[in-house]
Amino acid sequence: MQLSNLESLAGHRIVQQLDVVYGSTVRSKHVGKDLFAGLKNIVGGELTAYTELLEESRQEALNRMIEKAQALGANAVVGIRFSTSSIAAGAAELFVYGTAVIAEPL
Amino acid sequence: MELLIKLGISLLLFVVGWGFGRHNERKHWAQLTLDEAAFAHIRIDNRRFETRDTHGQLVVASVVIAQDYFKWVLASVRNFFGGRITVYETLLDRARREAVVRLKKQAAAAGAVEILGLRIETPEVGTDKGSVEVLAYGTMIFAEKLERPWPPRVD
Repeated sequence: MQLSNLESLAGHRIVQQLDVVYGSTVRSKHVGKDLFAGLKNIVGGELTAYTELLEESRQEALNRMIEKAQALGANAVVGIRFSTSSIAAGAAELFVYGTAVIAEPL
Repeated sequence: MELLIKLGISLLLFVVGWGFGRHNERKHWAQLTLDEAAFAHIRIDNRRFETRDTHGQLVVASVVIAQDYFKWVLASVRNFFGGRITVYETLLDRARREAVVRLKKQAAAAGAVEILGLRIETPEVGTDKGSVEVLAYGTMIFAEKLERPWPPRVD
């Protein structure tokens, strides 16, 4: 699946525009990881566990979006946007959406 | 007595936070300068309609950075009086630069030459107060047309 956050797909011509597809996941932070974060809040620095957690979650949301696009018979998704909302203390929804299209190489 | 102990702990954390926080920040800045120089050849662009004849693929990078206790105390005081909170400005600056550098790193590793449609976000992810996430994404562009779409499919 070709993915792009541009309005068009580089090196391709969009022949058919199918539908808007999206994927999302809601994640809460882990207790064990939280303890470590408490220490990091004193000395500062990167919270590697959180970075990984969020990266995994975004990948999961992307995968769900890709599945939907594949079900429509698309070979590319363009105009991808990420959106994140905090829904409760410590929990966040990671949301991604784009337009599923059929594209052919120029 | 109890009050004194509490005050003592706070003071200790303040000093520890100042020392380690400053050390970490300087180390991070030095590393950022090196990384930025190393990946300066990857051009970045954030115009929406810019495109290329060769192929591209989405890249996403993010980073979560925590403040230290010293910054927290300073920011709390500033919050009361109002005004510029410089300690947070540097925190956000570090996070943004780091996210963009990581994006460039990924693009370079995949063999791309530039990144189009760069977007930088600072989402509220419900982490502890005072830690900040920066998300950067864009479309990496390859120098030549690819035989197969990136990333290569592993079956």
